[in-house]
Amino acid sequence: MLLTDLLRPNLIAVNVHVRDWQEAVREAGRLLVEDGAVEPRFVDAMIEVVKEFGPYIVLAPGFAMPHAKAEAGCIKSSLSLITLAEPVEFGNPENDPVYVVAALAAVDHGSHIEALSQLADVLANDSVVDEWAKAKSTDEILKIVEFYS
Amino acid sequence: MIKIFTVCPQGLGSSLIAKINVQKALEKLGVEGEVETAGVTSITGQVFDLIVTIPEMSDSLERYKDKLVFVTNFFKRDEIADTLEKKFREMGLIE
Repeated sequence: MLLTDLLRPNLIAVNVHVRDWQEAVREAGRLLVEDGAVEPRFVDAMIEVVKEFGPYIVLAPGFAMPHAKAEAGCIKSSLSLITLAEPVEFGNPENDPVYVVAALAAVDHGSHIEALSQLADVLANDSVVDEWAKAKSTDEILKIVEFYS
Repeated sequence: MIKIFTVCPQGLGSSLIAKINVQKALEKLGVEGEVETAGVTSITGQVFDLIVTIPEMSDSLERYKDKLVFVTNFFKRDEIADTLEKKFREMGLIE
């Protein structure tokens, strides 16, 4: 499974307006729900994870990857990605503020590893989060993925 | 052969990214090792040499504190490699 199998064009939105981190997670989650990739309760579960364990999901400066367990209502392994019109704080001292949120839904522990490995390759480049944040369309987001893959 | 677990609360998102980058770091440092992911509950009872995790997990993993290595940016391969290199030196795994 490749990164672009998870991150499908209908799961990307740019320049999304949100007021806080919860709304950012909900917006990224909404794309997964509309796609049929997760049940609506999966979105609540992603928010609960942050409340319970802290903002560790901000994995790199400006980049958050909310996720929840497969049992929380994941139907199809998927990744949605939104860029924020105004950055939000998750409460992570190292990596706030966040302007790119990618919500991960995985049906098991194995099948998405290749795709995540590719995401790790892409994000190993310091400028990627910035480039995504400046992208003006879904197409531009995917071109950046392709360029660094 | 060193056994490393990457641990996050759930063991499927951040720990997977960490695993990928820890594997790259091992290659770079020329250290032979096996890397697996675990959630904070599934680590119990496992046998390992090191845990790579996030600072937020330090309380839950307190009992392994001598074996913990922390990362704050999961995608910074150089930083992860530097941190591991330091730890490996402490452990006498590399010169």
